[in-house]
Amino acid sequence: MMAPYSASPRVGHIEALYNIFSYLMIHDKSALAFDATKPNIDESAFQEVDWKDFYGEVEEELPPKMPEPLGRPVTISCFVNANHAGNVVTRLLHSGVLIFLMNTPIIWFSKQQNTVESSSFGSEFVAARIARDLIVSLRIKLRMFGCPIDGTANVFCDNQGVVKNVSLPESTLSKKQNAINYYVVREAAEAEILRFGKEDGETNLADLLTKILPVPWRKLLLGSILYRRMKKFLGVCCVECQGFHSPKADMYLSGRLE
Amino acid sequence: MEEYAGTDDRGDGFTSTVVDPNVWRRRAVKPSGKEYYALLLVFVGDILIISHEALKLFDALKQVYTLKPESVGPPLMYLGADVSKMQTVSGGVCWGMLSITYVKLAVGIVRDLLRHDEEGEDLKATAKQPLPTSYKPETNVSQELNGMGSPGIYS
Repeated sequence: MMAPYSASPRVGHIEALYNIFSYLMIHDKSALAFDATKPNIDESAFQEVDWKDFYGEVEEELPPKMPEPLGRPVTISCFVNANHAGNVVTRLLHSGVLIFLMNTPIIWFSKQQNTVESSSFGSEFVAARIARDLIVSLRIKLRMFGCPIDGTANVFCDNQGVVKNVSLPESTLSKKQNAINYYVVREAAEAEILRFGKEDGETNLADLLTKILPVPWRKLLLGSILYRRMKKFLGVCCVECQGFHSPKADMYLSGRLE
Repeated sequence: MEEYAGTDDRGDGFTSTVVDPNVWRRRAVKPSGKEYYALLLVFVGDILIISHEALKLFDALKQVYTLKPESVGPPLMYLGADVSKMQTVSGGVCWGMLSITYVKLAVGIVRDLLRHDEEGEDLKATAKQPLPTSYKPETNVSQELNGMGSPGIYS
């Protein structure tokens, strides 16, 4: 959020940074769990489609010299979001991508892009293309480590237009300026690298990476990602889930990412 | 690392992965009979072994390198982050990463900078969120920091 102003910062910017450090000073107990349990993915969020009639036999390219995969297959899940024209001066978009390996968040991407899009659909497609690039890179890396991948990556996006364009082969694009992002992401979908599902805007975890959220909303989303250090357990430091889950978050946890 | 994991008989068969030369891999079999890759991660002086027989592998490492006796064991820190076992929502126990030490150090540096500043202020322990919801850094037109404070303080 503050990185674009590191080149020539102003007094107001450094005061904002002091506020961030003030927050960190009293909120330093959060933890990330390397939770290797399989996420409970809601299959109803995705549509079964056949791309063959449109693009023929397209397969994911496997890296050469990859070792034989061994061990438990891992599931990739991803949340993607864009803050369309969020910068009130330049109207640049801000993209955010959060990638989970099983139930562990491992890639966080938050960046103000250098382009202005004419619609939120275009902004979301830019973020979707970035998510696609990160997922392809992650899949190659995992395969080269010898880690088996469990099917396609599940990508959750809160823009219905993007989800339809990437999930339905027959959907067409009427905006020429989004064509490259459109085809790149659709190619990944037809090669079964990823699949897109609709996620409510209120529970899209990538919202944390694109805008400054009100405290209750931010806590709700963070509660699905971070843990808070609480007590000693079995002789080792133990953390438990934060106690601020609202009923909706609990529902969410028992649904998409348990 | 080649001295330990090379092609000689003592090497235990670890090979450096193409995608990351600091990650070494070898086939291993769990007591249950399941095959997996044991991993050996190297970063400067830190070594992390992921295996069901990690201590045995460290013993083999000791024959090649001098290791501090107290440093061999379950990890407490890795690459600046605190590492600890955690209990998850589902009740299972897994490894986790905390940033308590890192954040304390970073906050300490900022507080020192503030104390040495002309106004001698300190961080306020009242912040409920990192930034106010309505905050828009792009609309800030306050004075630029160039030339203010100690030389290099804001770099």
